[in-house]
Amino acid sequence: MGNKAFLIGVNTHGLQYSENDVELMDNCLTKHDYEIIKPYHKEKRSILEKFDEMLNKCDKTDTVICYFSGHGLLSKGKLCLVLDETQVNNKIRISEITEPLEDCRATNKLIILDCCHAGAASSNLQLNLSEAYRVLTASTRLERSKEIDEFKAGFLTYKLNQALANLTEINIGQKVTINRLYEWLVEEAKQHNARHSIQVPIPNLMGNAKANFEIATCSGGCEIVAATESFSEVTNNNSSSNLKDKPSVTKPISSVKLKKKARLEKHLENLSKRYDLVSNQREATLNEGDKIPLDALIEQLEKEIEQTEKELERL
Amino acid sequence: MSDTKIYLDLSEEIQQLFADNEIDIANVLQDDNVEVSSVTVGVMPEESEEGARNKDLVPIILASSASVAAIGFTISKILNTLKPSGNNTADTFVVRFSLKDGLFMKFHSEVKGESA
Repeated sequence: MGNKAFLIGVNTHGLQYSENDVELMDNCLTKHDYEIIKPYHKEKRSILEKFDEMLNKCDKTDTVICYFSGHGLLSKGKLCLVLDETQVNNKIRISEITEPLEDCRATNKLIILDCCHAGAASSNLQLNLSEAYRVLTASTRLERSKEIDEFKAGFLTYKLNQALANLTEINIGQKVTINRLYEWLVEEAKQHNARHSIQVPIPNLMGNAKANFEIATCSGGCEIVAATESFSEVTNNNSSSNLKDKPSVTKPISSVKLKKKARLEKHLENLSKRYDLVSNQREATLNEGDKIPLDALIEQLEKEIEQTEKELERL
Repeated sequence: MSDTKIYLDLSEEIQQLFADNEIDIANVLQDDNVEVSSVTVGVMPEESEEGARNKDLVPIILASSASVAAIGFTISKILNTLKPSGNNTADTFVVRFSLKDGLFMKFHSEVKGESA
């Protein structure tokens, strides 16, 4: 089975990390034997030509991923992917991606959109009729997705990279199906929103839920990378020689548990700090109305602390 | 008269209404003979949070400040036309001037009796 990924990332209108997002996706998908195609020129015609070229080479057994990170724009209700800020017409209408993809021979097709209004992509598809055609988006039709300085990436991309580069460590399983990955992403987004002031939209997965195809497997050469690894660390470690030198599958299970334990302890520490901070803030708040959201947050943090402690006990 | 950047800040309900009806702001203004130099898109200057950036773009109208009332009136008219009859909503639009960034027109729609 061949896997192909077409990755587009454009830094326009002040975005800083869309091109980094592409490198992150390249990094994690390469580990799962995906053939990566990244258009060099960010010009609509050139991108679509390369995209068609890739689709024409697909076989029936292939899995194809088309990924975009950048600004999304609704034009007359239709989603457009922005490629240029000076030339208004240099943008790709989502139908120019979805229609050729529908005709492609590959069995499994996945579109990943880390942009605003990404949920509008579904209006161009008869997703329920397409057996294995899924669309994973950072936001719904009217929501705004974000790139976050702390991650040096878009939220969805950062989490995707974290998941696909750390299959063993995050307990996502040896084989990652699209539905399982989505469940994990939703959970991560909820946890992020409970812990951070910068709120992100909950990712969205569209298409026939029965088309739960596998997008990565640990036997394809995945390795354990620390979950908190930053973008710079990932890219620095991504030289071909470095990857070849590393053992191809996993480290012993005890090492995995130790790493997970350390990560959970760190997480617990962060949760406790945040809990203290919010509790103090609540005490200092005079207006009763302002206390309600803080109470909800405190309750959420308490639950999360309890869960983390239980998980640590199990380890 | 020199052109001013006029940022359109549309509430979610209004965005939904425009998206559902495939409305294009540039066409609407043109059809109503409102004089504008161009309609483009960009990032709302004051909207980005510290430590994060939205991947969203808003319409920016390049026009003289004198056109503001005409633009506001045209968009309000479209909103009234699009809304189902008997819809118990109140529409407001607020214009705010910023010396640094230009002019902001905020359109908001809410069900009567609910606070903003």
